[in-house]
Amino acid sequence: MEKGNISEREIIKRIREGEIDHFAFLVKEHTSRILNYIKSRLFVKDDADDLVQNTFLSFYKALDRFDENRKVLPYLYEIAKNELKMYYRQHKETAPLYEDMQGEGFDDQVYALGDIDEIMKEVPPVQRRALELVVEGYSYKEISEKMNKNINTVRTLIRRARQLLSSKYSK
Amino acid sequence: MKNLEDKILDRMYAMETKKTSLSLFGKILLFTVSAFLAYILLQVLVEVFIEGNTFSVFEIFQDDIEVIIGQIGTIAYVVFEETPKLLLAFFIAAAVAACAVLLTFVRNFGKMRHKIASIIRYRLRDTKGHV
Repeated sequence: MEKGNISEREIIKRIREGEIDHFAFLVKEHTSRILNYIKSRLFVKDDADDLVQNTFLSFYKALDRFDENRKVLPYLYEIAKNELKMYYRQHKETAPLYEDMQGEGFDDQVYALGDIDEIMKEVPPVQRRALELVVEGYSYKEISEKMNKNINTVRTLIRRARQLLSSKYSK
Repeated sequence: MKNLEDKILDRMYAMETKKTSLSLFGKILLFTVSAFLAYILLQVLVEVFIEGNTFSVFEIFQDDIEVIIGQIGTIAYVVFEETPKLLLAFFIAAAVAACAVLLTFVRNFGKMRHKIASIIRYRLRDTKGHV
C-alpha cells in the first residue's frame, strides 16, 4: 500500500473509519524525528525505543479525540515530552561510579542524574524556546519565522543556550 | 529504524486485536443474553395471558369498527390490569437492551469490518513486511 497524495487529515479520517493500516504511514513519516527528539533528551539512550513506541501508542489511543485539522508532528512532540517527564519521574535515581573508573585521589562518589527540564529552566525563556525548536527538528529559517526574529538572532540565541548548558554540565 | 517501526506497529495491532476481539465478544454475549431473556420473559407473559384468558378481550375485533373504537380504552385497561407489571418491565428492558446492542453493532459494522480486515492483512503479511 502506498501513501500517494493522501493528506494527514485524510489518513486520520480513514483510521477512524477502521482502516487502521493507514497508521503505518504516520509511523514511517515521523518515527525518526521523534526518536531523535527523545534521544537528545535522554541520558540512557537504550530506553529511547521504548519511549518512542509509547509515544505512538498513546497517539493511536487518542486518535478519536484528535483534532484532524491539527498537524500530527507537534502533537507527537507533546506526547513525547510527557513520556519523557514520566520517564524522569520514575528514573530520577543515581548512577554509581564503576570501580575501574576510580583513580588515585578519586572519591567514591555517587553522582545524581538531573531532570533535563530542571536544567533547562536555568536557560532564559527566549533561548530555551529557540533550542526546543531546534530539537524538534525545525530549521533556523522556520524558527526565525515562528519566533518572528532575524535568522542571525536565532543563531545567536541557540549558540548562547548551548554555551550555557555546556557550562552547567561541566560543573 | 525499520525494526522500531515494526515494533510500534506490532504493539498497535496487538492492542487493537485485543480491543476488537473483546468488543465483538462482549456485544455477542450481551445480545445473546438479552435476546434470550426477552424471549423467555415473552413466553412467560404469553402463558400468563393464556391462563388468565386475557386474549378473549380481543374477540371484540370481530365486531363493527365503531364498537371497536368505542371499546378500545376498555380493552387497553383490561390488558394493562391483567399484565404482571414487573415481568413486563423486565421484558421491555431486555428487549430494549437487545435492540440497542444490535443497532450499535449495525451502525459500527463498517468500521469493525475494516478493522478486522486490516488486522488479518497485517497478520498474513509476507516475509518482506509489506502491509
